[in-house]
Amino acid sequence: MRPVKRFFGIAAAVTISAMALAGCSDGGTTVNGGSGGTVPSVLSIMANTVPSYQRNFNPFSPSVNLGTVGFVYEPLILNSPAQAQGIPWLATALAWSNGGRTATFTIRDGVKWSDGKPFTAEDVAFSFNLLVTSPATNITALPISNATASGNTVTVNLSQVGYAYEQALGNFTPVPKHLWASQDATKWTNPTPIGTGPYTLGAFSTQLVTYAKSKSYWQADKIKVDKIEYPVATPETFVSNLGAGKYDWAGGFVPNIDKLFVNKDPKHNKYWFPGDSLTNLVMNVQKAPFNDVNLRKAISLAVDRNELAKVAELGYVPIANPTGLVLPAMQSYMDPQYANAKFTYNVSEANSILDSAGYTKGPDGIRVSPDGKKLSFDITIPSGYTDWVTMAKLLQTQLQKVGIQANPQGVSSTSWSNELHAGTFQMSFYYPGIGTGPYDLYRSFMSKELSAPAGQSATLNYGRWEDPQTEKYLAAYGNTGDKAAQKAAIQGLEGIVVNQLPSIPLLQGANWDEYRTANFTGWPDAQNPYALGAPYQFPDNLLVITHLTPVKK
Amino acid sequence: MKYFLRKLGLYAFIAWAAITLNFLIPRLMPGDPVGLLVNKLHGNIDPNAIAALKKAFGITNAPMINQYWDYLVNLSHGDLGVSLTYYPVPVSDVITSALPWTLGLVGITTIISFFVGTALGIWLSWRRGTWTDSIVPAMTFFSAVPYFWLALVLVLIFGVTLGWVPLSGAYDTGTTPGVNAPFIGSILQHAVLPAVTIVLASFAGWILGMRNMMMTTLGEDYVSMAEAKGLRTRTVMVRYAARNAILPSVTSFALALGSVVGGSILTEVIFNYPGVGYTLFLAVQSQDFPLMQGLFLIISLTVIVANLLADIIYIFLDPRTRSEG
Repeated sequence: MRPVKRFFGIAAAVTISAMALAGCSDGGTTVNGGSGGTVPSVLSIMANTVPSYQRNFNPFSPSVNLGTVGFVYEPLILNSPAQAQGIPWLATALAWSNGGRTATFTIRDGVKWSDGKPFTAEDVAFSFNLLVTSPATNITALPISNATASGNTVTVNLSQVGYAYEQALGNFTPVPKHLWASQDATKWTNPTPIGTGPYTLGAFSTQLVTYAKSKSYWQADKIKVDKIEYPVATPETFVSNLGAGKYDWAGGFVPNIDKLFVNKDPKHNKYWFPGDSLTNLVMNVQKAPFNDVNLRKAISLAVDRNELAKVAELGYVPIANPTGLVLPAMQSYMDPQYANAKFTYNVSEANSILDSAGYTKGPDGIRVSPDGKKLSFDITIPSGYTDWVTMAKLLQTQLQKVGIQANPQGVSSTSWSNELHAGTFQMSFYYPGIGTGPYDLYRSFMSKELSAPAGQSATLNYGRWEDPQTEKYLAAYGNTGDKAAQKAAIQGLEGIVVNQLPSIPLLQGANWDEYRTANFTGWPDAQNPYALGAPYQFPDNLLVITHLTPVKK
Repeated sequence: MKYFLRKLGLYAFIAWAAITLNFLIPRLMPGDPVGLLVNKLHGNIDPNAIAALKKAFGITNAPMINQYWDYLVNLSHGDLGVSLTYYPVPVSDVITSALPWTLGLVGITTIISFFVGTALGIWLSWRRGTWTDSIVPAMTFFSAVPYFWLALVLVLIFGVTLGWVPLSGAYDTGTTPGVNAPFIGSILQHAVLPAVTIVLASFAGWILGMRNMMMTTLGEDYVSMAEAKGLRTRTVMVRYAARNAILPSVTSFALALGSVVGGSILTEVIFNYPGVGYTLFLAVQSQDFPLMQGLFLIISLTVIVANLLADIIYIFLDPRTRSEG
């Protein structure tokens, strides 16, 4: 089975094992019986594979139905990794004060909840305070102390300097106080969601969730799609339905996509798979021999990334950039000196680095480290991730050419996860996500805070890279609201990845976005990458829906 | 009566054991649902949020005995906890939404295969020694081939190649759920193939059981006597022979009905049928302990109740059990 991980996008931590929502048929659309009648435009989305839906529209739930966040509940300031700047949405401005410990949002006038009640600063303050009073709702871990409303502004006091959380704060989706104040936000399934967004829930069934256009949306002129449907899909049915043209927008892995999808209607069936994460080769760099940067460099040189991408990932994903930046989303952060940097595949250089670093070849062709240990390692991977299994096998062959023995070891995803956390693995793969930008990406695999001393469980930094200079750059980013200074800090981190390889970037992960232009146009693509395109991506889904136009027929 | 009470006591003990095992097994399994969720999120979750998730999922380090007590208290209120994959939807809601599909599909097919199988068994035993004897091996073929293979071949022929029936799901998402013709038609259309595969794979068992019991009964003196008296063939076959031969089949039918609730995991997975079996399959995949627990509990309790019913039926059907007590 293809790895399930592929279907889980970056979406704001929240919208994972989501199911689809269904909109209702009596929503703001009309079908005129007479001549020249207009047929409502229906957008069919496959964002995740689930066999049936449950009626859960609680935006604080990690398994909320997809579409809840984005189509029903909207962010304050829309921050997409594809946009250099946040786009003012329910808030018109965000101002920092108190040395980055206070964020003040100015709330947009004239916005209404879909039940007709006005959207106010009170609602926003209430929603932020929910994260404090019910910590289980705080699944994006915003460091909030309290929030107060005054007029049309909301003052959010943070428990730490919060510049690094600017995007996450902006992407927060407030809920109406008048409905939520009497509910336990951690337990309520919010069966009939009332949001400010362009859509409201209509009919719900376990096999189909549809959204209908909201009658009172504050920027109604931008919404041209009348109705959105999320039919259930399973990995087995998804590909055949996609090929049959049943989805306008889908986000899933498709083997041999040109044959199974594009060629069925080459004029309309398109796909765009921009990077949305990294696939790194992880080693525990606290332990010998991987604490030797020369060994890491040699391994990096000995890896033929193009072969990995072509064979293991069917050529869908680009190889990683030496800086680790996910492209094209993070292009604007690129340090000019690395603008043209590319990973090279050079076995002889790898061999000469190893020779001069004192790794001598034994009689069996396997090198031995200066302290007498054989360079023979296990690559521990979940055996269900078939693409990674292929990648590990390719690495085995490639690394053999430089005298390193790598043995793929397929294990259950649970024991893989346990080994990563415990640091007992020798080599493995991991996929740091794009988050809201490069800071999140680098922090996840380089920050000391997420690492752990030997013998303890590491949170995300499984390679256990702990480096004072890295910490300085991370702190520099988090402590300033100045964009230029933040960019300089990111470029410092790029340099560390290029020169010291805390983990070895191999490939980029793909943001699965298949779409049809037969019924709607305006999709993001390589020429106009205004958003990450996968339908499970929040808040990008909201950005995309405001760009779509039905095709006149 | 004493026999009945003894049985009741025994089943109460079995139920307690099932409930306790149901509590223990998921807790003894390795793995951590939050860790798995974090990995699914591609690492796009703030590590500090892991604490929030653990809190939300109610994962505690409280002593086992306290957890066990809480579990029993919640259970007595009918509270099966909250599903992790569908968090915060209660487990009972998830089960309730899956149950009708399974009861409908697996329940009806179990009944069909019991009646068809038993009737065929009676008929075949009556016609023993004729060409119909070759039907038996043919039937055993269907129950002997691996079920998934049989199902996939039928899907390939009738779903993919001929396109007569839909490949998967319970109904066409284009229809509006409710009591209306298109919706019900769609349900039937989607149920045909899975139902046929289940019946094909299971009714050979009923045929064989019934036929063999009939053979024994047909050799009895009272059957020869009835024949000698010149009673109608039908009467002898049904009233004299089958009535006595059917006893074991009835009890196993009660047991089969008990296991209906567990669904047919293979059928539901192959046809993406949104029933209990598929739900269980997904719960195991995503280490949704509360959901697994709830499902196992429902399944084991229905099996226990079915066993109890079978025992009770036996009291009525077989006088020997009565006199023993």
